[in-house]
Amino acid sequence: MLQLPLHVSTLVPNPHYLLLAMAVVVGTLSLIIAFMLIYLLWKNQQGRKQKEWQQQLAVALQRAIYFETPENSPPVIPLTFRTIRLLKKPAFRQLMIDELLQAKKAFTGTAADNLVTLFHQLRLDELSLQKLRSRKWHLKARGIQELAVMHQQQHTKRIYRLTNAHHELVRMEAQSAIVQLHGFEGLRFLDIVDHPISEWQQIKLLRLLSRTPGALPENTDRWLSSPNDSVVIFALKLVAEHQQQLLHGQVATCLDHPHPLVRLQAVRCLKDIYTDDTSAVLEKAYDAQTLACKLAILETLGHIGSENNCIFLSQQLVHPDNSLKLAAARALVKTGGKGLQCLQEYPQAYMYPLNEIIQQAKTEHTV
Amino acid sequence: MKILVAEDEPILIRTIEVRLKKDGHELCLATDGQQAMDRMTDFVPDMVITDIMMPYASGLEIISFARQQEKRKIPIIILSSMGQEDVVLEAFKLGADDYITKPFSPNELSVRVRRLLSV
Repeated sequence: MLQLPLHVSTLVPNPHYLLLAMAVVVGTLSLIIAFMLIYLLWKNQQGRKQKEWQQQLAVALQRAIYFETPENSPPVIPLTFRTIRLLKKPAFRQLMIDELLQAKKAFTGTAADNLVTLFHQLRLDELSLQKLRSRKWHLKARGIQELAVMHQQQHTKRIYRLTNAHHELVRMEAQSAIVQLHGFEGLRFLDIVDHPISEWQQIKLLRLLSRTPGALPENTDRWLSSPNDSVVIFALKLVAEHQQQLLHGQVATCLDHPHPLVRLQAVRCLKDIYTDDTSAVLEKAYDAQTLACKLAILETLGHIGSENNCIFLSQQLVHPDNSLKLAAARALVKTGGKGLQCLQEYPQAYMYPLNEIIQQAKTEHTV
Repeated sequence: MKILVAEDEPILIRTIEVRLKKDGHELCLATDGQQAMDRMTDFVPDMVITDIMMPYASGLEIISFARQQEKRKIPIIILSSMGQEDVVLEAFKLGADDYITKPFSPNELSVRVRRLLSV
């Protein structure tokens, strides 16, 4: 018989260890399968429970949507015994809030009013307030959203405090909520906000206000001199959107603002609320502006200007920057007869690059 | 009257179903555009109420399909969201008869349905 050296024989597997390894593998596999089965059963049970809850909620919501308030008695929307019992579970209450919110966004009139009544009747606002008190920003934001959609004006004070919150998303939700709850009056948060209002948030607020009946508050001009630059920019957008010609003077002073973006927005605003003085104001402010602002002024003059601006616009054709030359040529073309004459008679009109710039401006105008 | 309702939001379709059944109409519900077009062939509705934005086929496709299939002109109401003016105009070009903007009142929808069916 072949005698293996000692060091080689130690490498031959011992049947005892092989069995042990197999037992470990089989045991682990069994555990995994058992875990998977239990998980699937639990998931299935959760799915069935969720489906049953949603059926209960669907019935409750339909009852609320078509509820007719009886005369001489407070509105109390009837709910099934099972729904009332399920409402003791926090998860069901949250699902109820989610469904109510979705339904409230879909309907108007009595149906929407009834959904708010049900929210109030079940004291679901307390759950939203709990979220508002949470230290987690996403819960705070969710709570604010719930109260705003369900039109819970009685909690305005708490939401208003958050319009200047440190966390940007909480702040954004609170600002939108205040506008949703109080329309144009809600804009008073602009008096206290220290943090910048992002471009996205400004679009969101303008969109909300476009669906809101009413007009800008009389004291809108105070936001034009706010120490917060983003408030000034937003106020300028509001003035333009709502055609506040009376604020022309205050808007014109924004052309001297230290922040270039405020000055740019002021030019855009003046384009929308222009008067007979606007072009003279813009000409006067021109030299101190940035390139973007100068381009905006030339574009505005093309839009609102007249033959009186032709000399000023012709002077800009000598600027070394071709984009300014093109903007001035475009403005001259737009001002009409005299503007075109100024372009033709300009001493370097037939020299490169002005000849091509003038041709480009003319072609754009005819197209 | 037989009404085909195509809407993908569960709460909306359920509410429309309750309201129109209460008004005595027979309903056929579809939760996506393709389903709506499939059902139109065997249900033969007297009216179609359709959402604009839906999976698989849009409300505009449903309007075109309904107009191609019909043997007699049936009224079509579209459900649009705010800011969909261009799409609403396109729907009218394709042959829609009325539109209602979301969010809406179920009672208002009921009145519009009654008015269009009585014409």
